[in-house]
Amino acid sequence: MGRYVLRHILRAPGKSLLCLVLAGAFMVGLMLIRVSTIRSENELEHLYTTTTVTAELIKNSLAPITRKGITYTGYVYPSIVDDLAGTGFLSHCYVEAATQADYLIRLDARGGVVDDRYTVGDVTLYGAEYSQEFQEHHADAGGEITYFDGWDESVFLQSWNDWQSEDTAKVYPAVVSQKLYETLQMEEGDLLRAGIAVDISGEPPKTTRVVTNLTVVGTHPGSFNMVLLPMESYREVAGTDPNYQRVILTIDPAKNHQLDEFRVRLSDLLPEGGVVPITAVYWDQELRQAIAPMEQGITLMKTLYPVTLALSLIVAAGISILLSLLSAKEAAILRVLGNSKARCRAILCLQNILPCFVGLVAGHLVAVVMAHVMLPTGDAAGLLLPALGRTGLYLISAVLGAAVASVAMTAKDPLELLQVKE
Amino acid sequence: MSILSVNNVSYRYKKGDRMALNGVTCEFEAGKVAAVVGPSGSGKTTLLSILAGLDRPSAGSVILNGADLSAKDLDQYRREDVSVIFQAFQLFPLLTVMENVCYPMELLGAAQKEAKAKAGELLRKVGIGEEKWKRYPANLSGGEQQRVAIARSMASGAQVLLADEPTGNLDGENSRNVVALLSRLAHEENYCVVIVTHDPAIADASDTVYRMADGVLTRER
Ligand SMILES: Nc1ncnc2c1ncn2[C@@H]1O[C@H](COP(=O)(O)OP(=O)(O)OP(=O)(O)O)[C@@H](O)[C@H]1O
Ligand SMILES: [Mg+2]
Repeated sequence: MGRYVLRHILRAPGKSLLCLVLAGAFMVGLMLIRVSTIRSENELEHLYTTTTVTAELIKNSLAPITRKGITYTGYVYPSIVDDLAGTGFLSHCYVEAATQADYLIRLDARGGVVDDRYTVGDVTLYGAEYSQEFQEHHADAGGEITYFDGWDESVFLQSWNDWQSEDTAKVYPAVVSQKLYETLQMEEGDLLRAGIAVDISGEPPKTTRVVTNLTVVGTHPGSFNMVLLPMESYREVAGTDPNYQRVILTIDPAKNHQLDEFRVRLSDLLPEGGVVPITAVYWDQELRQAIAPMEQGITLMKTLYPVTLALSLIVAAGISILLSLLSAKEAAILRVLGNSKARCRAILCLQNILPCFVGLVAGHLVAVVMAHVMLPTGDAAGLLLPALGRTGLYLISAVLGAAVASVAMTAKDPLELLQVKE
Repeated sequence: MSILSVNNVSYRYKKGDRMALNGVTCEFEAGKVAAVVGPSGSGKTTLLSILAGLDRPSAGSVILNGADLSAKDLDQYRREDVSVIFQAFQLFPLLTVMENVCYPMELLGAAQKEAKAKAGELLRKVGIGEEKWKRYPANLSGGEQQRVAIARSMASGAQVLLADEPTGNLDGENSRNVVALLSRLAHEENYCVVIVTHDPAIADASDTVYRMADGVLTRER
């Protein structure tokens, strides 16, 4: 029987190869779908955790905010920013406040007015971090700050109280434009006195007028009337929490998956967030654009997988049945020559299952190696058992197909198959 | 001396509406050629399949050398006691001439070497030269294929050779050769040969002639 089966497998290479190649191809193909899915998922996850999404809080109306004849620049309450910082969703929060200074007078190092002529009006004082974000939003900010001796960019990050002694009049660090510095004919160490109006949190918004002394720690190449203060100093100058005119929230990439949850939290806070109605604008196109096609791809592969698996099982059974039917005549000859029905069935089954089995083993091995080459070890390991399951299912399906067909074959009267019909 | 006797055998196909064999009684002797003739659909092949042990009669008995077939394993009976020769030869297309003839012996557990030796002997006897032993059946003429099939039918050592229209696919010359061969096997080697045929020439050349009509068998000669 063994020899008969082997001869039939080897001498009908077309049939045998078909069984073998189909079995192998399905195992490799199915693994390829799974591997691609996991690779895409990993890539997606990487994208999620490395892409930065920001949200900016803006007022709904472009109209300037005026109350009782006064125009306010700040409109976002600091409280909403504090609340948001407490949610744990944010990795960074850029805030910026600004106010008009009525005047700016040059003082000497001891605080005395040098000359009334060294006065300018219509200057904007910014409380902000001198960061990329600031420069992105102020076209006139322009380039690098030149710090004077003993100063550097850390001035924007420090808390200012640390170096101020109680008794001396408070002096806050400021960066002015090179042009203003030159116009006022200042020298290193000179001070400036500013008379400003500060927006104060609360409804209705209030404005207080304060006079404060600034020490110039550097110059920037930007527009003439732009004066920069570290946020910390700006708050001090304002004496109380100023409203922000610009708030940019950077969502922690690790929380990108919960972006929708964050949106809900934020939109719950928005109604109470500003002097005027405010909205959050999300800058998440990068994430969405990259993710949408990938998610589509993953969905497609996840649909494709069970379909292909089902198809493979149908093909496994179908090919088995088809090839058994093609051997009907030989089965009849075997019967006439004295093989029992059971033996005929075994021969028919083996003839079709053996090549399929060889293909399965080869396909399984290739699939496993492929998983290990294309995926990190942990992910690959997770695919081994399902792969074994698929291989088993395919084999069972092929065996069932062959068994059913061979039973049907041997149920027929052999002479009917072998005699010539007129 | 009769080796195969059929006693009052009736047979009805599972799907058949009438009896395909109706009380058939006959005897087949070793060393003789018996012909079974009759119109199409009269039951000749049905009788053959009962004789070949492919089915059991609905009623009646078949006796081989005094032993009732109903007590025998039909698979074994087909392996050892009878062989069938077909109109369309029915060799295994994927086995060579030599392998085809060896197969019945392999089935009986014969050693390969002895099987080959005996197969060679049989092939020579039916006139198939050694140069053709490694060929596949498709590369032989019809007459050659039928002679290989006859060699195969003798390989198991069966004494009863049943042939269903063995010359139906052959031309006159090859037909005569095959009939002559079967007669020789009966007369010289004591085989019991039963030929189902439409061919009057075969019937004329046979030792006994049975006629089948509507499942009823009558001896003509
Ligand atoms: N498998 C079957 N199932 C039902 N009826 C059958 C079957 N095989 C044959 N028959 C019927 O049994 C009868 C005898 O058929 P059989 O094949 O023995 O005739 P035959 O004499 O060999 O005819 P032919 O000369 O055409 O070969 C016919 O009526 C046929 O239709
Ligand atoms: Mg017939």
